[in-house]
Amino acid sequence: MDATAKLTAIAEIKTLKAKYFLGVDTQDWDLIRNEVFVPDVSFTLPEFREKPYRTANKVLGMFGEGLNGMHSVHHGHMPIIDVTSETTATGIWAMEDRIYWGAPSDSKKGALYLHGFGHYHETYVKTDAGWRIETVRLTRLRRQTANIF
Amino acid sequence: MTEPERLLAIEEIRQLKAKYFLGIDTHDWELWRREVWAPDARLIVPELNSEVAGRDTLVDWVAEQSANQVSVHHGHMPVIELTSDTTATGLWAMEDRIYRPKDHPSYDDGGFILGFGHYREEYVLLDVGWRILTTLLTRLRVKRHRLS
Repeated sequence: MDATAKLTAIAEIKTLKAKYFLGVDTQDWDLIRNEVFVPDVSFTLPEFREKPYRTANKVLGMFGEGLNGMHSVHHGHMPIIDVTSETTATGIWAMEDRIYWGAPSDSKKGALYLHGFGHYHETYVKTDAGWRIETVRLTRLRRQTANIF
Repeated sequence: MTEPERLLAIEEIRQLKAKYFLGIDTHDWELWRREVWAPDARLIVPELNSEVAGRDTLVDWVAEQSANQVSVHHGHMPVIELTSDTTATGLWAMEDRIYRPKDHPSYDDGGFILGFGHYREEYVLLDVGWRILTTLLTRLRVKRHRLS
């Protein structure tokens, strides 16, 4: 691969990850289904379980349930993208996320706020429709929760 | 160097710095030794009156400083300039968080430290790829917090 082809692939994969963050934080599951994940995506959250969640529909169902009634903000930083062939690549992204639960009126706890840091370890594949995320493993350095009023 | 080759070199240097951050935050010192630093690397941290030279000494020193703590470092807004086909300079904005447990020797300074600053760096292209030759870390602000 020449420099231009490599740079183009890296730029497209960065945009792909940006769409992932946009989709999660605006809860636009169709965007992720149509433009981000392959249909049989594998998504692993070791903090919950080692077994990957499989298929885009199941992963997005889990996201929709998990983030229902919440506001999330995810930022990605410092990607390490290795284009391993014309149609495959790997990536590591530093991640910062904030999740805000709505304040239940009958609780003294106010709203719960989670602030976390970690890394996405991913593989990508270039399909006829463009680059897509094939596997994701999200590891965490730290997560903290606080009550905010 | 063609324009795409220049852009690819800049991208490779960005990813080099990303490996610096990945290594320090996951305590992957082998990654640091193998893929981040030049053999004659230097790290200068004026606020600690520290200057360490030589890859092994440098990696061992940072590993020791990082023991028994969780850190999160993010780099932003790089200014990367290629000064020849095999040398470059870079400036990165930096935000870092350090979390220390109660039994950490520096815990009294605060269990949580939030800092902002800049890295000023020199890079060199070796046979194995781009590596960091020198890093100077300066800070804009450091805020120490007690963890509740």
